[in-house]
Amino acid sequence: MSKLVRLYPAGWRARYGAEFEELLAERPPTGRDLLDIVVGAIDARVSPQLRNVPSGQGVALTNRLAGFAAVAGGLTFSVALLALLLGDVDVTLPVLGALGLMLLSLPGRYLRPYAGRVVLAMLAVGVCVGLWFEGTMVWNWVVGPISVLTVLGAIGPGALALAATRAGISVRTRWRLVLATVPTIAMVVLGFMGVLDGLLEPVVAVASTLPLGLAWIVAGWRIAHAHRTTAIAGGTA
Amino acid sequence: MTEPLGEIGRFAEPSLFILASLGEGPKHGYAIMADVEAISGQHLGPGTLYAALARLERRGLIEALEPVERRRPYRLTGLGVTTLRTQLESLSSFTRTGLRRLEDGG
Repeated sequence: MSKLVRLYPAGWRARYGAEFEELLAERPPTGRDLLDIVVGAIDARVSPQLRNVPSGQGVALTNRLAGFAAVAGGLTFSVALLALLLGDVDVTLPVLGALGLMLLSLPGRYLRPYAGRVVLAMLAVGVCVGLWFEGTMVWNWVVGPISVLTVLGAIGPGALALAATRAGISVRTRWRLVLATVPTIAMVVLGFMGVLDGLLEPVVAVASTLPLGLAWIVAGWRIAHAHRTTAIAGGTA
Repeated sequence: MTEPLGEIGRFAEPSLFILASLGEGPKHGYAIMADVEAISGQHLGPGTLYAALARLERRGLIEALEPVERRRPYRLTGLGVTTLRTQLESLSSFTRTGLRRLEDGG
């Protein structure tokens, strides 16, 4: 099998590999075609294109659990953030739990091959934040809402976008979910630039981060509801 | 009931070209590429072609036939025919309206 076809994932190669190779043999790719093939391979790895993806009732149930876990994570995250507004409430543990649910549910279900890299990225961001705020006390990154929100703001939107793509959520809804994460990203970036010094009151933090939790609830509900039909029918996804 | 091509995102245009190409009968990948270039003047890369084919097949608009010497032909399904007709009629109406406005305004 040619090196170009090997860029595509195994499942795609099993379905389209032979005919794709035949096409490349009949019509040798130009430079422009080579770039098009590389982009196509990336797309095949990110998007669920194969019609006959192995999916019976068991897999549909797993998808539903991932969807409900995402809803639970988003709800916990949103409620914990709102609790911040009530006063001196320690929400670190609930937010950490929500962070785990949100980043491991949909991304964990749909980005399993990349789970190791996602965890490493989270640790890297957390260590950087720990160094930034705590000096050498890097182990303190696990506590403190700033570190948690930074990790979520840095990793969450990308993970949500990728998971929504892999789950086959419509393009229009995907864009709306990603746009909902923009306030969180903006808060993280502006916070590091020092623009929000003195302004990073709980209200600002909650208002800019709450949409991220709500986006996770919507994404999780869509996936759980879509696979409810599949699970009942016992058919393929 | 038709399948909205807009849900395919950036592959909507290549998908329409592929459906139109298959409108005259089953074709394999190379034939689709050549035909799309002939009828639209646009180059369809192999990566884009198969990304669109996979999406169309997943949505039930086309179906694969048995391969012949490693070439696998595709053909329109009933849903594909209906979707293609709806899309082309919509484009035709838009084209007529646009041309009429040009004549009226010119």
